[in-house]
Amino acid sequence: MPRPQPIYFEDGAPAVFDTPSKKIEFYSAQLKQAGFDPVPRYTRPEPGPAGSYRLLFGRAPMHSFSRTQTTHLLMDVMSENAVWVNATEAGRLSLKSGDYVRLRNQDGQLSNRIRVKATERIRPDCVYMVHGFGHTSRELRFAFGKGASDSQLITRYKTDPLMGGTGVNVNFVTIETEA
Amino acid sequence: MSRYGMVIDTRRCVGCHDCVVACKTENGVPEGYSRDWIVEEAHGKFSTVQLEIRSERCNHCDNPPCVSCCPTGASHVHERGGVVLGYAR
Repeated sequence: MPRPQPIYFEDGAPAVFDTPSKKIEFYSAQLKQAGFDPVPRYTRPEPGPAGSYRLLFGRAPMHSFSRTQTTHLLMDVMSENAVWVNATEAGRLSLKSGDYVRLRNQDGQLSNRIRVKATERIRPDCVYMVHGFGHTSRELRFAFGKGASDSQLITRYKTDPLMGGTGVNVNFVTIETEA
Repeated sequence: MSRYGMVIDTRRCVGCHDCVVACKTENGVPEGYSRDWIVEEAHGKFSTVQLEIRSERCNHCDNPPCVSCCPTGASHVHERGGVVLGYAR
């Protein structure tokens, strides 16, 4: 089936959008009519419980989602994920890189054990981990028990009231030391 | 005689380790070992951090210490240049 609209704009071709002005609209009368701010406005995200960290997640360039943790060559270069903790925060919590901890989210979910990576590369109120680790199937002998799963800790999401997209960076964790 | 060198543009390196895996595959390097590696170093404090990623490997030195110290001769300078490992030695 032919596409009603090409995916890419051809070089030099006029860009036409499905708006009343046929242009990109920074001020949208349609949005205003629907009861939204006609100009996108920054809304500060709600903070989490005191003493908790916003859980962020992302990807490592050597693994693809949760499906490459049984590939020996890739596990040789990254065998488990770590939870990034701001270096100053880690010092305050007496944690150092390589220590094992567990993360507990706002709904009581407890993660597998995961190593700390104390780093300046993250802000003090957030922690970060690479997605794809913390497999729970014993049959995945090479991947089982390696690192922790961010998905396990994502028990809440929020819906964008305007365009309906969902965001899951709205979960908060506390750090529990692992003996 | 040609003298080959490796040029690595660290400005473009994201630390994906693909060169490490490629080297291991090409040279049959056993699991748990590698002949090149990635160094990630963050300098400064949040939020003015600078990240340096380096892909490091053999520099094929003129006077390679790994050759002079190798007890079996496995680590040697190839007749066409370059420091290589020979399984047969």
